[in-house]
Amino acid sequence: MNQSAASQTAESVWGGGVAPFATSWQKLMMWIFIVTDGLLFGGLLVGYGVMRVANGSWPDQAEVFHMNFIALMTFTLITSSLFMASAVGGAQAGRKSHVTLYVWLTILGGLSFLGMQAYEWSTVIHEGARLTSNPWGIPQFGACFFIITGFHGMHVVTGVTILLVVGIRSAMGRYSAEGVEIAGLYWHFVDLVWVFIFAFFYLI
Amino acid sequence: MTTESHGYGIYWIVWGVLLVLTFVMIFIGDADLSYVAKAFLLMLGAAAKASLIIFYFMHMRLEKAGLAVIVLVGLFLTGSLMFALPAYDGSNVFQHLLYPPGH
Repeated sequence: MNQSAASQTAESVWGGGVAPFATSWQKLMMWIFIVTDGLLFGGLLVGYGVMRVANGSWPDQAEVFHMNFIALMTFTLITSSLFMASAVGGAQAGRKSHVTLYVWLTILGGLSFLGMQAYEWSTVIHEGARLTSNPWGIPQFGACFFIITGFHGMHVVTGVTILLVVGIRSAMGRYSAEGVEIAGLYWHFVDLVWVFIFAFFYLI
Repeated sequence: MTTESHGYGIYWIVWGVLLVLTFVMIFIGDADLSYVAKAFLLMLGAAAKASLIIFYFMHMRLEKAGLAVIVLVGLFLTGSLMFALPAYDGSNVFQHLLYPPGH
C-alpha cells in the first residue's frame, strides 16, 4: 500500500468508502446513541403511564409541585439549548469567541437547572416523599418522580461534564466544529427528554 | 458536517416559539377540559416542541432523510408501541392485581 492509499484509508472512516447518510461516524454514533437513550426514557415514561392507567387515580401535580418553579426550570433548559445552538453556529462559522461564550452560558444554564432540581427534590423529600411512599396517597408516585427526574438529572450532569471539556478546549482554541456539534446533539437531547417529562409527568 | 447558511436569528425564533408553547401547555394543564382532551392537546404540544428541537436545534432538517426516518421511527413508533401494548394490560390485568375483586 503506498502512502497516498494509506492516507486515504485513514481519512475514509467508513470501510466501504461512502459515509452512510453523508455524515461522519462520530455523529452517526451519537444519533444512534440518542435513539437508544431515548428508548430508555421511553421505557421509563411508559412504565409511569402504565402505573397511572393501572391505578386509576393519581395525585394532582399542581398540589404537589410549584408549577411556576417547574416552568422556570423548563425556561432555563430551553434557554441553555438556545445558547448551545448558538455555540454550534459559532463553531461552524469559525467564531472562536462565540463558541467559548455560548458553551459557558450553556454550562451555566445546566448548573442552574441542576440547582433548581436539587431544591425541588429537597422540598419534596422534606414533605415526606420517598421511593416507596409519599403523603399524596399513591405509593408509585414517589418512585416515578425520583426515578424519572433522577435519570434526567444524571443526564444533565453528564452533559455539563461534556460541555466543561468542550468549554475548556474551546477557551484554549482546541476544538473542532463537529466536536461542538456532537456535544450539542447530546445537550439538545437532554432538553428534548425534559419536554416529555414536563408534559407527561407534570402536566397530564 | 451540517452547516448553517444564516446567523443565530432562527435559533432565537425557535426559542421564542418553544417558550410560547410551554406557556400554552401550562395553560392547557390548568384549563377546565376533559382528561382525554387535555392529554391529547398536551401530547400535541410536546410533539410540536420536540419537532422544533430536533429539526432546528439538532439540525435534523439538514441531514439526509434516511437518518431522520431512523431516528423518528426508532423513537416515536417504538415508544408508542411500548405504551400501547402494556397500557391495555394495565387497564385490565393490573387493575385486578391492585384492587382484587371482593376487596
